[in-house]
Amino acid sequence: MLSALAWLPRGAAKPIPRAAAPTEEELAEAARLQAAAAAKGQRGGSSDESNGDDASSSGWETDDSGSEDMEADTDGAAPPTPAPVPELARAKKAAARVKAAGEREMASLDDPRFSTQTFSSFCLRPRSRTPLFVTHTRQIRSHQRPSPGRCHGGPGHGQLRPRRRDG
Amino acid sequence: MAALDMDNYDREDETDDEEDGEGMDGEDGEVAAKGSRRVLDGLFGGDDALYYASNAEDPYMALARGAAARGGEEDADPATDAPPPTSDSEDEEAWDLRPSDFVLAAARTEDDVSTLEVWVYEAGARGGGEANLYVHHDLLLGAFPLALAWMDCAPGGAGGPERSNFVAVGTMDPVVELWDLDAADAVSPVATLGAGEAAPKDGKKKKKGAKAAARAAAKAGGPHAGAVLGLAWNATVRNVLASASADETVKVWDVSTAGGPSPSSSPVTTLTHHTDKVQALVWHPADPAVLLSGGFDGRACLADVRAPGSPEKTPAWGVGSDVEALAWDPAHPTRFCVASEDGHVTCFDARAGGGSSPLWTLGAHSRPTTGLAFAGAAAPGLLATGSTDKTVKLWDVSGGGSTAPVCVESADLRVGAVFAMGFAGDDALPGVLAVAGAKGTVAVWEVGASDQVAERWAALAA
Repeated sequence: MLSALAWLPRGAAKPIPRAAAPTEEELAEAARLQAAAAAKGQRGGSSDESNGDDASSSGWETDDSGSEDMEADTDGAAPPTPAPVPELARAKKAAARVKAAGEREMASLDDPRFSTQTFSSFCLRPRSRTPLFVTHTRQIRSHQRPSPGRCHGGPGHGQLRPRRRDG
Repeated sequence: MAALDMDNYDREDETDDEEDGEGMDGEDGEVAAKGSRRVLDGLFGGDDALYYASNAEDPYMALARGAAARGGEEDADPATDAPPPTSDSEDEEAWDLRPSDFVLAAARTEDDVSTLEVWVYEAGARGGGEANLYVHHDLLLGAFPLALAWMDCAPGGAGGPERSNFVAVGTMDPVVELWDLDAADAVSPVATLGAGEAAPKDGKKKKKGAKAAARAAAKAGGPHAGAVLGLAWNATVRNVLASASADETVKVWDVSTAGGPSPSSSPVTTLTHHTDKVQALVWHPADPAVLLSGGFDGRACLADVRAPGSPEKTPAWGVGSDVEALAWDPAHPTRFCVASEDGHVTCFDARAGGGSSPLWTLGAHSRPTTGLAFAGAAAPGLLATGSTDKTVKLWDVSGGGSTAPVCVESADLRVGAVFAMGFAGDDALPGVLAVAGAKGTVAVWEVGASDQVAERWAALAA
C-alpha cells in the first residue's frame, strides 16, 4: 500500500542523482575494516584463526614485533587502499538489512505460491538494497507488470529499472 | 503412411554415419578434417559460422550489441534504420531526470518492508502523446511511513537561497526523518528531528507509566511521543516544518538547526490545543504564521505559531467526526475545507471565527474522505476529493456559500482505497493529479482531459 505522497516542483530534483555521502556508522565500519585488513596483512597467512571483529587488537597483542610492523605500515611502504572500503561498508550494511528482510520472507516458505525459481534468483543488491526475491514475491502476489505508456497505474514495484517511452 | 516413407526413414543418417566413419578411419587427414568440419557445421550452422579471426568480422558481435541495447526485447521494430544505442547510453538517458519530468515521492509499505519511492511522470495525455509513469529509485525506510512533506531547505542549511531537494517522512516512530532525494543510494536520513531525545523503546513491554510520562514531556515541549501522522512544510519560511502526532500535539521545527554536529533537534513550538490524535496539517498559503490542524477530536483548529496562546482560546471548528484532511481554498484565502471520516467535506470561513457555521457541507463520499486538494489558480474552485470507497471526484465549489458544489467528474483510478492525493501545482501544466492507495500504485490523472472539466475550466484544456 501507498500511504502518502508528495509532489516535487518540476526541476527541483537534480538531473542525475548522486551517491550518498557515507554516514558516521559507515565511516566507523570502514575504519574498522581497514584496521582489520592492516592487521591481517601484518600477520600474513596466520590470520585465518582469528576473528575479523577483534583482529586489530588480538593481532597486535600476539605479535612480538607488532609496534615495528605498525611503523612500517604507516611509513607508506604498502598503504592500504581506502577507496573501496566505504563501498564495502555500505554493501555490508545493506546486506544486513537485506538479511533481516529475507528472514521475514523465509518464514513464508511453505506458501505454495512460491516456486523454486523464485528463490533461486535471490541475491544481494547493495546499490538498491532490495532483495530480488522480495521483488518477485510482490510481482507474484500482485500481478503488477510494468506497463509503460499507461497513464493510470504505473509499473509495479518490481520495476527498479527506469523506463522511458520510445522517442 | 506411404507419404511418410517409413521404410527409408533412417537412410540419410546411415549415409552420414558411413561418410563420417570413412573420414575417421581413412588415411587421408584431409578427409578426417572434412568429417570434423561437418560435425561442427551441424553444431554451429555452416561454413560462415565457425569462427572469425577478429570480432570486427563477426556479424554476431554487432547483433549482440543491438540485442543488449534493446534489453532482449524480441518485438523491437526491425525496420528502424537508426543504429541501436549502446546499453550504457540508454540506461543513462533513462536515469537522468529531464526538466520536463514530473517527480513525486510516495511512501510504500508491503510485507513489513517500507520504502520511499521516487516516481517520474512524463506528461502527454493532453498533447496527444503517450504518458509514462515509473519508479526511478527507492530508499529503504526503517518504519511504517505515515506522512510526507517535500522541502527545499537542507538540514543545517540555515534556510539560505540555495535550493535543495529533501523530503520529511513521518513514521510510526516518534521522529521526523529528513531524506535527501538527490542521493539515490542513501541508507539513512540526513537528519532526524526528535531523535536521541525520545524515550527508549522497550518493545511491547513498554509500561503505561513510561508512555504517559513521554506524552507529558511531549506536551511540555519535548520531542514527539507518538507516531507522526501529518507533516507540513512552510514554503514561505523555508526552514520551518510542522508535524502532527498521535501524542495529541503539533510541533514546529526549525530544520536549519537539524543535522551537523548534533543530529537531533528540539521543537521550537508545541501546540496542545487538540484533545486527541492530530493527523492533518496545512499552512496558510499567504500568512506563513497561520497553521491549520485537524484531529481525531473532530475539530479543525487555527493557530498562530508565533503566539500560540492557551488551548481554550484557539479558534476551532467542529465537524462531528475525525478530521482526515484539510485544504485552504486558493481562490478565497480565508476559506478552508475539512474532510472527515464520515465522508463529508465542510467549508468554513476563518473570518467568522471559531465555531462559526459552515459555508457549505458536502456529502462527498459514502466512506471516509481521505484526500482533499485544490487545483490551484489555473482552475479556481476545482476541488478533488478521494476516499476509501476507491473513487476520486472532482467538484466545482466556485459558487461559495450561494451555490451548492457540483460534482463534475468521478473516476475509479484503480489504486484501491485512496490514502493520499495531490495536484502537482505546476503553472505550466496545471491539473495533474496524483492518487495513491491500497493497491500500491500511483495513478496520475490529467483532469483537463475530461470534457466536463475542460468545459468549466478552459485553462486546463489547453
